[in-house]
Amino acid sequence: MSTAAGGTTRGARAACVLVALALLSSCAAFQPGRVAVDRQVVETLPPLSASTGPGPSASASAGPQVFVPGRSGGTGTVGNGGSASRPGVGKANYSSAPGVEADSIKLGIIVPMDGPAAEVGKPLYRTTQAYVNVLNARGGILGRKVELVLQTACINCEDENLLAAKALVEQKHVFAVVNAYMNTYAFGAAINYLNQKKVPLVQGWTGIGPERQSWDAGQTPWSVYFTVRNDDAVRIYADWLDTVMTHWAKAGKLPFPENPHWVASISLDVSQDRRRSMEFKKVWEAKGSGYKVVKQAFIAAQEEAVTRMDSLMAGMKDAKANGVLSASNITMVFGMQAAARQSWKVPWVSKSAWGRAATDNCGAACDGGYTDNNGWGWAGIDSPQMRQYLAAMRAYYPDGVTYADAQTLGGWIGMMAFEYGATQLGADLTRQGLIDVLGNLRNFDTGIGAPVTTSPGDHLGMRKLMMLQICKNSFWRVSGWLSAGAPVSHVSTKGDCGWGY
Amino acid sequence: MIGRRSKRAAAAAGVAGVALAALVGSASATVLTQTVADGAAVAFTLRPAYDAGGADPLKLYVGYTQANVTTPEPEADGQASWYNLGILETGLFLPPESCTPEKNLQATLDGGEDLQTWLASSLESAVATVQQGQVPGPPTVPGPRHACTERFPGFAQSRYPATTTILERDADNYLDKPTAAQACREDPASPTCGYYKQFWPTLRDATGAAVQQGSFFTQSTNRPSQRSEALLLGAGDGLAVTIGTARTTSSARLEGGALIVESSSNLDDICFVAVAGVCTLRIDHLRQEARVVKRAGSAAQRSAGTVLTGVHGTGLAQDLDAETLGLNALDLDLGGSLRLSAVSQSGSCGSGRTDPSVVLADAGGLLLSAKNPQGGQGGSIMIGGACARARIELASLDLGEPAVEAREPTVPGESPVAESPALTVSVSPGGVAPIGPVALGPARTVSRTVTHYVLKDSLAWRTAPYWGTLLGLILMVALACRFAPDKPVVAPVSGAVDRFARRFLRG
Repeated sequence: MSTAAGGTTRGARAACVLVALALLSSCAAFQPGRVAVDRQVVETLPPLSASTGPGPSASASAGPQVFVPGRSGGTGTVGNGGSASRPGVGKANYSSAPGVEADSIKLGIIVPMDGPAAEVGKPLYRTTQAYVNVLNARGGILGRKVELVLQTACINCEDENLLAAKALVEQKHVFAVVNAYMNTYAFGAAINYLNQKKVPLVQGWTGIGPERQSWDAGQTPWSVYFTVRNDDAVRIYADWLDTVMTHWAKAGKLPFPENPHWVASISLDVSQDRRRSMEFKKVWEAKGSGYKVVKQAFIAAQEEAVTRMDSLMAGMKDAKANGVLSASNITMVFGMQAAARQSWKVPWVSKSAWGRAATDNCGAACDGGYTDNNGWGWAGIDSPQMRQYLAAMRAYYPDGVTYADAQTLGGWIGMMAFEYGATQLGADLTRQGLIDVLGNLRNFDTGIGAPVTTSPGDHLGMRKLMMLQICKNSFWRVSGWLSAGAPVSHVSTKGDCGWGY
Repeated sequence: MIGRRSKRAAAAAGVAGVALAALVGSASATVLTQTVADGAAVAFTLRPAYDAGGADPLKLYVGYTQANVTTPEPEADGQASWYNLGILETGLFLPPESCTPEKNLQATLDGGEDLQTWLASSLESAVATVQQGQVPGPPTVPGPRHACTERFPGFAQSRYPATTTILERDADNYLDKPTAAQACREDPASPTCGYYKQFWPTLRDATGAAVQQGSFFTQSTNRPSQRSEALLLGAGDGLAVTIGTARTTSSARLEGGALIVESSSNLDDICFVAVAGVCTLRIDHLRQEARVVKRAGSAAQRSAGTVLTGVHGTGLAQDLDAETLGLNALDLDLGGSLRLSAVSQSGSCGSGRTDPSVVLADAGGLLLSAKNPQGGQGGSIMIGGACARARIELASLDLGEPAVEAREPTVPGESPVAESPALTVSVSPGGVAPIGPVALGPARTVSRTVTHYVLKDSLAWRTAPYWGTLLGLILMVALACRFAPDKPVVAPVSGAVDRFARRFLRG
């Protein structure tokens, strides 16, 4: 019995050995080198039902939506959850949108890379590229890798911007265009074209052409800009200038103390800037009877910024203005240089001067000038998203860490917007769906910029900004988040180059 | 025995577990490591500047070349041109809502005039002021008229990958003016002839003070690599400094895992402060080179140097001797408060201080400056400059999910503390109430790739599924017959095999 059992055991062992040998030899026979790929087929999986999809539930109400790129599902809700709807979920629309394949999404970007203009175009492009690199390393958007296609256009060339947009849409077949905002003043024809073709333009800042009355974002239905609303910004500028001038008046520093609320404004003669100046005048003079915009200057041509600036500053000084609103960085830089030559020292507040154009080119003349951050936060913010930004930029574009400003942080937020929208849509990624998602945000938090709330008629999104001050070729944050009509908060008087609050 | 088996099984399971964990771990690693490279080279002939008190000097280069490469996403770009302005000057160009070719042409000509006027007037006044022993005032930043584009003639640029407006190869050559003559001989009424007849004389007059003739060439490739070359024949302001010929080159490329970035500036027949046709100081040849070769993870090779040959002085306030001409100590008084000194850095590739991973080679240049009795630099012209900057490293990026922190969202409130600019600050998110955990949906997979394989070997291997299956069956039968010959299912087969063996194999 025992012998028989032992024989059976030995037999079983021998069988196992034989089977193992047979398996091993077959494995050795089927070396990878003997195998060739016949074909690869990408299969799109059916969409999940709405009840099992990612993202916030449709029934949830008002808590902030926090978007952290790379986290499972990409987004989440805080507290009771967010309220973003998920348009398009459940539709059987796989890979049918132009530029969207089962395994890739093609995006276009238009920036100036011509000679000197590359100094502003390159940071925005490299930032966008860094985001794409990290996004693809994470596996892309739900398995789809993002391909970024660059087109270049002269910063002031309307025709080249239109040509670039056409090339992206008709030749490269991109799904959407991102971060084209460095060419704002010459992007009118391109944006008309993108609207006509119903191609989304997603970016951190506005890319609106000068011929459009662009104050209301509802006029650009296929564009989404995550930046502060123009009307909110103007009210905040007015409040900030008022606060600073009050401080100067108390300190006895205003050049014309008898009229402590008289100011001037200066802008390029393009529709956006003209509108900004006009709105500022309205807001300023509504503050009280002593509030007056005594001079409004509109620079009609580029050479006038040089040739006429001294006479304009002299005129403002003669009109006894105690402060200036500048509708753009260009007028601030040349204006403050001319004001210094005219020995007219007053507080300046400028729209969108947060970039190297101001610090590198203006020098001591711009010390003390205020500008805003467009609602994009500040590199010192301690959040997971900001740390992601800093880590990616250190790896791919260290200059973007050193000069974290309008070109870099704005571009990053633009890409966050795209990733969020595309992630929400998943397999059902369409152009209309993307605009619907990004045009229906409620208190959406990127962790970098101000919260974003959009609607189909309002694609600008932000209602808060921070004020910055230039001193010794650097920008210093001098306020917390400011809202129109809210009390003005102040952070720091250090780094003001002696210009005070 | 059972105990031994259990131990063996446990050990085997443990080994398998470790192996499996290693496999799984490596498959789902969240750290991405990539080779990241970033190189730039710049060379120029002249750079007028004014120290306006802390800002970067005015950016106007003459005889300018630049080359850049980056990876990942291999790209290369660069330019060669007789001029290069700064970003602010570019921002001044008018939005061209109603730009027409005629308007563009006229604006180009106007822009050339503007530049010439600016160059001549600002330099002349600065030199005159300095020669009177005074400090020149800050020059007005040039805002040349140019309705449609900031690209003046004498500008070539290229990039890889190419775009609709910037191709992989470009050239712009003043020296091909005979082409215009040819066009006019063939058809005096042609638009091309008309364009040249109007354009070139005006351009020559407009830019004559800065550049008399020039040739500019750039090329980008997919290596990636970039090469830019500018050749000037006659450059300068005609007063403080003139240069006979100047050739500047910049190149950057990735080659066999090495980032090679280099630039050079070669100037011949340099004349400083000509008085009655005689140069106060003349230099036959000035050569500057800067080069960086860097591989990821290894030390960089870098070199930068300046060679001066044939230095002749006339009417200098001090004698020229070997010690004076030691470049480290070069500091010549050219009379009238003008000084010529050697500077160790042109600064055109950055200071290298912002990022320790950047390797910088900067040959510096000769600086013709106003002696400022009140201190400070005042106006200056840098003659020659070459620099190279390289960064290549294995960048590791943690792609893991960011930790969820209780204080999200981190929109900062008002910080009571003073801040420093940029990165040196951490803003406390005061005033924001802690919030609950983030609720996440499940990840979705929207597509999958199905791969079909074929055997690509000989007929024997391609038919392996058939004969392999047959062999397997035979093996199974053999085993069954050997170890379970009495089973009802096997017995008939076993008997048949036994009979077969007895009859044919064993005799």
